[in-house]
Amino acid sequence: MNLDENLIEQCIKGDQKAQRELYGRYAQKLMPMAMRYAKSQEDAEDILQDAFIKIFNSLDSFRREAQFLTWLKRIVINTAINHNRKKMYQQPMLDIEKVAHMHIESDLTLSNMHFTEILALMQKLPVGSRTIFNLFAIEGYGHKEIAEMLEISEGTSKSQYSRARALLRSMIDEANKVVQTNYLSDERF
Amino acid sequence: MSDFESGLKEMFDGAEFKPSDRVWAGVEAGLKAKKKKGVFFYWQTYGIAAGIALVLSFGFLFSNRFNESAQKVTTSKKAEVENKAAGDNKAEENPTNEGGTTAPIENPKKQLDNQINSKRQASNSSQNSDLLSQPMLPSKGNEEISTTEPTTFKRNNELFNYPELRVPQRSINILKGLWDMKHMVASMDLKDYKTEKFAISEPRALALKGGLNGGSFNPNPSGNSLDMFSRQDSPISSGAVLSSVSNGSDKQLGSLGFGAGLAFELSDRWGVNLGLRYSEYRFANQSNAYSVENGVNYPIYLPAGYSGEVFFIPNYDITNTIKSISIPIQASFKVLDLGKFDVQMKAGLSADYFLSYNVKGDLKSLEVRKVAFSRDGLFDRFNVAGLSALALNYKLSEEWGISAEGYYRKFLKQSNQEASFQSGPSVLGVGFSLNYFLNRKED
Repeated sequence: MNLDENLIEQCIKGDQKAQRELYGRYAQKLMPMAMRYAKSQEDAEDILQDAFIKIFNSLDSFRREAQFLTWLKRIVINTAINHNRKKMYQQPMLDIEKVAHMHIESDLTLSNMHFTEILALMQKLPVGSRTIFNLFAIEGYGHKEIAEMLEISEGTSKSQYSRARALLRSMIDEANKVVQTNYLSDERF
Repeated sequence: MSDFESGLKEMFDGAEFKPSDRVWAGVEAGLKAKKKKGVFFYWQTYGIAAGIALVLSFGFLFSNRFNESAQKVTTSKKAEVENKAAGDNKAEENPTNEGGTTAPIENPKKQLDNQINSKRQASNSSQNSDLLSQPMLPSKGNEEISTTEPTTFKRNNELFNYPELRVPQRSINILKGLWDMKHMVASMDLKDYKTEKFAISEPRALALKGGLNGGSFNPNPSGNSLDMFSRQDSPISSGAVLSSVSNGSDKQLGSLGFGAGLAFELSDRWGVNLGLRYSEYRFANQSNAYSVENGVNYPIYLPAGYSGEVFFIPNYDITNTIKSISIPIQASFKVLDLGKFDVQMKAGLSADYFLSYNVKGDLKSLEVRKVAFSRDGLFDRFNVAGLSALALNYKLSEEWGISAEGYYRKFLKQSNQEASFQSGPSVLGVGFSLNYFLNRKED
């Protein structure tokens, strides 16, 4: 029995110390994931809190053959989707045929950006397209699965993804330009 | 997957961000609540069962009380009626009153009212006569009593004593009571009406020996007997005719209350409630007589007393209404918590101040009798009752809430030495109130 399994056993028994330890071990890893789906840090913390309550309440259903972190991530994703679902209904997603063409540099680079900067830009995306973008681009789900998960059409998933991608690239491009401009202006002095 | 997506994915792989301390605090609180909820599940299950059992128990106790209650007000108050000209054959014989009975009225209720009105006129015209020396002389027609054959005045009691309905399923009585409370007194069954027998003049005030006194109220006590018409000084000595004023068993209609309250939650389950409530308590009965007091016709409900001239008529329904202001103080226990809704069991005491007590007859010719509280110490305005309730509460805000409750009030027994009985009536009721919460203790 490795460390995690022992910890899980203790948590299932309701050992608060073990629960605190497990939380401490995984909360920081899961927080960026919650932030990608949320519109703010506070929103992300609400998602994380609900996710951990679900985690502790359903630990006994965890199958040991699966990766524990993967299982945890799935719970965070499901919690985030549920959290966003109401907002998505309030802002219905349409099947957008044509995404507005935006001029984006082909050599768009992410290397000079910190993930928190990308997170800040992602949080500016509309809730529906942000959720779809995360599920497709980062979690690796297909559009068919996303359509089932969010109860939308596959076409809507695709078009919303394209919209989110274009918007995000545009925002990253803008951010890079600002950085470059600042760099060049700094060099003059 | 393009470089853009791969780059993003790579960027978030292994990324860490420390959440604020409030997240763990929230998780810890959520787990505790869940744990409590796990235990509370049993409270829900057994709490509901206990609540139902409690209500049913009250129902059994009450329906028993309702049915047996009481002690039927069969005041065997015999009226000794004598033909003042007994032995002398001057009086007329009533041609329609053979054998003490008369023919049924075709339109009974209307005719009953007409008869009351005609009696009233007759009563008014003879109001100043000496009742002791001229007892109970009927007026005219069917009401007239034969003076030649005193035995024909005997009341045909079987016409008036309807069998008492007993419902075998006692719990059904609770529902029936609620139904009756809504519809108040049921319509009279007029088909059984017979003509009235005769009129009796009765000036005595003995009728005030009812069952209402001693700081408690008993609508239908056992020791309620008085010889209203038994007059030792009566000049009448022979050929007596007996008749009695009687009411049936009280039929509880229930109580309806409205009020406001202050609530203080001691814990997430326990609380204390203090309120101010206006309520109306009603019960029904029947009467076979009415009285004419100062020219006005009033229904007779024996415990409430009466005076003046008494006239016998076929049974009619009466409704007794007591209006009161009460201050209940109760401990409460939350048995079911459904977020904005919760269910509480309550128990405590209630101090009651009776505002009015009215007796209403179901005949147009009868005025509502307003019972005087101070009269001969009939009963006290102030009373104390045990009070238990099952309340459904709805949380409007942190401070305000509304509740609907089914309650059971049992007035504390007090001995009435004068009438040698104990009274401690009880009633089921429905109440609505607006509550202000001095504090809330949430899970």
